[in-house]
Amino acid sequence: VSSLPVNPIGNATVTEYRSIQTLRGVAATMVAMMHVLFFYPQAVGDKPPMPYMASFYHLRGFGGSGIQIFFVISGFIMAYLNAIGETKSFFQFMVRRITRIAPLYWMATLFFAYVVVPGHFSTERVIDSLFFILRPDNSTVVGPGWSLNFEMIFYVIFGLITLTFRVSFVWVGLVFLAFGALSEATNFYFFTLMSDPIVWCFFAGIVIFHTHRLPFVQKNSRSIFVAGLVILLSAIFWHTADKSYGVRQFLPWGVPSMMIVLGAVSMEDCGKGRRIFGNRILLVLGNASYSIYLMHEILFFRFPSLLFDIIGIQKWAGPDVAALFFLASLVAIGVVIHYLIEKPLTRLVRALTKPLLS
Amino acid sequence: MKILLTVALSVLGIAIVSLIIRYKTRQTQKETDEEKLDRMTW
Repeated sequence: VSSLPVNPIGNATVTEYRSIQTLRGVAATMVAMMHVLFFYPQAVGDKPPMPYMASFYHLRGFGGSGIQIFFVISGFIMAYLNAIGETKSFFQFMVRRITRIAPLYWMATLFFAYVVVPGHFSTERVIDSLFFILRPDNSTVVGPGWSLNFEMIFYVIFGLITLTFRVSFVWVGLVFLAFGALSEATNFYFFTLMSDPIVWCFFAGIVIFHTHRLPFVQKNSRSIFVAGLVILLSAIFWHTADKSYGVRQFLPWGVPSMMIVLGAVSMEDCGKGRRIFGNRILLVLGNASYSIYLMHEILFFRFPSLLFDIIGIQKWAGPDVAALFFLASLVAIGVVIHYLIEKPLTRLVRALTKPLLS
Repeated sequence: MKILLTVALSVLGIAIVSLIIRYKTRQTQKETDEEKLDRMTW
């Protein structure tokens, strides 16, 4: 990759978007928080008291908004990779994406299906998960895997449009529109799932990449960021999260997520917000966000009994501190997995697949 | 006893994660472009 061309900012090296990494760290923690709050009753055997946080307006499901932030970021980063000419062909592009996403995901899926809960999943379900095949109920062996399926389909669409057909990114939006039309016409579950408004977060990310340096945006970047943050946080008080996604979630979560990402990258680009986006802990969480996001749910199957049955933290620290401690432990384990497993594994796979990229 | 165990585990966890952050922040500066991109793309 040393042959990467000069990027659009004018530096000779790859730009590290610290704002993006920071937001990723926060988003992964938010998703983990949502799962902790939903899982807590089961972890303590339904014995009250339950955390106050879980009944505070709609905070319990609020962490799900992290997915919308992930999708916006994904669109932004793909547009960035395209701008710097990371790969020259669709094949190389997909090799880079799969070798990044698949190793840890395959490991997690196989470990969960055959070690943690052996016999629970059919071989067909495991294969569907391993090959990112959408199922009608949008389920995967490892819970968060459903969003990776969406990511992978987005990568295919983006790669074909920018590297095979070499046409404007606007075509990504047109493909999403076509999915909507095909869903209406055929009622086929693939099109129905892929016409969910959440996919527009990908497209928004691409648009954000192309607009975040506009003078008007840069001038108002802080306001856009703060407004997005306020709107998203306000959703805690007025938006009931559920699994239906759709427009109901796109407006309270999707739109402010776009504003947050746009404001953040634009702020960073003009040198604002260094204190937020230079925070070392948030950056490490961002770097480890894939491991945190992917692995935290697997830990629900053994780890809680140590914390809640053996140590009994909820009995003397109270349910809210116990839930936060549980969350902090999951995040910390995710960071350790990132450095001990994810990074070496990715390095190994990259070395093995290097001939494919030359 | 359990309180002590939890506190000890927390301190140990914080110490390990802090050490990793310290060590890796130093290492991050020596990263290749490919590794930098890997951290940002998933």
